[in-house]
Amino acid sequence: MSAPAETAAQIRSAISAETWDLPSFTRELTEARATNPFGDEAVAFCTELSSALLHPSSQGAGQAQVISLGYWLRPASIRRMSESFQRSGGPDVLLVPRGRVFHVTPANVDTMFAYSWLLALLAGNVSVVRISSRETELASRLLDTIAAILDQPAFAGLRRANRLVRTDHDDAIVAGLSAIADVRVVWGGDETVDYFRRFPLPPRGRDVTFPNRHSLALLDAAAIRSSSDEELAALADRFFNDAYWFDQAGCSSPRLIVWRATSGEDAEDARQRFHSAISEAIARRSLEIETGLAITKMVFAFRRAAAHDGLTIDTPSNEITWVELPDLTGYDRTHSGGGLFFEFVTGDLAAELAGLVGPQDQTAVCYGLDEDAVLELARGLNGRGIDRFVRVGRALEFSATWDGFDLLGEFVKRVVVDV
Amino acid sequence: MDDRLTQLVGAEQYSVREHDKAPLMNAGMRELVERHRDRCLEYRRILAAAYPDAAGARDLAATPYLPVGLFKWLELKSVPEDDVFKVLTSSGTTGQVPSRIYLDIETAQLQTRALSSIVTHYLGPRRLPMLIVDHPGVIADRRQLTARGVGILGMMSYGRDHQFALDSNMSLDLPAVEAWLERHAGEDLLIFGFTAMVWQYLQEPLADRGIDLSRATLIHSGGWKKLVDVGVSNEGFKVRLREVFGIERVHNFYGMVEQVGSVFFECPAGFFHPPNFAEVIVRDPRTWLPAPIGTEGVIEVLSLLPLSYPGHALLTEDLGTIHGLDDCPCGRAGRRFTIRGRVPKAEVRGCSDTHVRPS
Repeated sequence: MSAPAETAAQIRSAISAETWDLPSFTRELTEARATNPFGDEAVAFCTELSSALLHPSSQGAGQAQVISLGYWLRPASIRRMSESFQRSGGPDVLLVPRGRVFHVTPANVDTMFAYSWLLALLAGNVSVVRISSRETELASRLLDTIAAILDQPAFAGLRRANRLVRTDHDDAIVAGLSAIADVRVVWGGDETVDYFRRFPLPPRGRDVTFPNRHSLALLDAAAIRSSSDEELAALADRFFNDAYWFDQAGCSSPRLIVWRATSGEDAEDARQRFHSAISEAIARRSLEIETGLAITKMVFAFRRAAAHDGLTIDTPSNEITWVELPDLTGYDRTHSGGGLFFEFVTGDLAAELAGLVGPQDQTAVCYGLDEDAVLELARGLNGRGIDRFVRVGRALEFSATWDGFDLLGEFVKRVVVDV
Repeated sequence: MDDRLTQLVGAEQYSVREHDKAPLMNAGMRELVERHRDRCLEYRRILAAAYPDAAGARDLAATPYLPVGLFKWLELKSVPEDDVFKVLTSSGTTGQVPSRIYLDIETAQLQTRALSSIVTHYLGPRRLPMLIVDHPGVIADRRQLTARGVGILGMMSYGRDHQFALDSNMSLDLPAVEAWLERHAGEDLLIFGFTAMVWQYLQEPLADRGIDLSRATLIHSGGWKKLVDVGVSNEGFKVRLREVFGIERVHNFYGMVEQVGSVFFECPAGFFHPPNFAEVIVRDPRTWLPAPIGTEGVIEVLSLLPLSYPGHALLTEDLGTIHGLDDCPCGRAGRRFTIRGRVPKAEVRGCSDTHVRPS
């Protein structure tokens, strides 16, 4: 049914009217030159982009995501990244870019493509970023901002070396771009990763994959019980951001809450306080979940209830469903998104997590657990899962250390100079 | 079958007024909730999890309901495997999970009697020569029936001298249709088909041929989406069929594989009515409480027929409005309602769905 690959393969710029066929596109890419890590042009670009994103005019729907990205790119933050990057080299090691990076970005997490691309850019690489065709208003505003800056003469070099494109769903294009990639970054579900793995990289090429992940919250009942109304409201606002920014479908969005409680009374009281605080946070943001999603969540919750004895489902509004689990055996990580939280109460957090945690678990947002306790948990888990323990409110705060590895490190080679 | 159900199915349809119907439906629903709670493990667990106060439910709207989509995911049945007489599946679009509905003989028979009671209300007791706006292949394999096939086969028992209007290429078999019309000149006729197919494969090719179908009753179903796409409303559909063929009696019906037998026919005044043994509730999509009369919401359908599976109270994904109680210009008792369309599909964002379509 499909046309011959040579004629079907169309690559369109996501920031201008340019289009390419595959051979001319790959020729341009192989001619583009990598630059030194943290070069002046790259740093200046990040600074420009940061101020454009933090400017009041670029705010609108999804502004919190835009502001996060803007903050992440501000000069002080880039300087810290650069310093820690240089330190990671060491006395006899020079860090150089890997070369060409092919980024496949998630369909609907609007700002995600920017993070992995900008890290590759800062490391000096030539990048192709495949932007999802299912573009949101936020993503297109972001692309417009990027285009306006890249069009300035000062960034002509970066513009040649960084291509934000849309492609047809075409095996030939994926194969062609993979064949010249030194690093291929695949954000997406397990199926996406499997799909891209079918297309070989050059012998020395490396895959950096970000497959399906699941995230959770670890809350201490006593801490919630003893928090003031103001503290609780602030906590609920931060938790709201963690959970609802990506309709609870982001890899880092918490879906399961594991409560540490010393007594049933402790747990009940803390849960009630927390539940009403979340309902109030939802009301403050005037979030309304569409009817279709509310029904989808109902189907999902009922499926779970049908599979086990002893669940309770509480749906105070379309925006939120609480599903209390009697135990974590056979806990299923698939999820409906849209504001549905599994809850489980335990007196022995370490033991429960030891039984539960696996390689899909990415982020645990924590409240009421001190650093020593968390370090002990992380040591106990010893790499079996959970790559990030962060405070509530920081689930979606991107960092160059992600999914357990150092992304900047993935975008460079280490050249030994010891003469 | 208990006396109440026998009575409601056997009585003249649309004869029970709101005031008398509410307690009958309510009592029937409470029995069904208990029945399925006792016999279906999954249903029992769902009740315990989501409807802890179900036993105390006093009015019909408080009856625990299941979202109809649940039947795509769970094998919900209240009879032992050995008593399953037939499994109905929804056709759905390719790639969608179909619903599976488990029937024992008793429920299957009830469905047949119920449907018969509704259809004879509109068509009378005599079986009429029947034209089916479809191709014969749709019922060829009785073990692999689509929802369309089930619908057609179900209706075929209310007609005789069945003629399929289309050939296997979905084009009108004009000579066959003309011969059939000639054979039954001067008789009352029954035409049955899915809404969009009647429009596309009967109305369009025959529009200019001056065919007189004024003695026919057209019964059609299957959703308006395709027609809305070409700008045809329910009213426009009826007007056109009257103009082109002189058909006066056109009845749309609303039903689903999850509640076969409990169909809602459109009356001559243009409203759907629940039969005696079924009811409709329209719920406010924010509070999920019954919406006031005249206000649109999500349709819930209740039926006393499902004995072998817990499908007696189902929240659909359709939007509609109840317009009145016991006040339809057509004279039928009970609630009258219209349907506007589907609840828009939920779209969840997220980072685990980079869109690829492996070719």
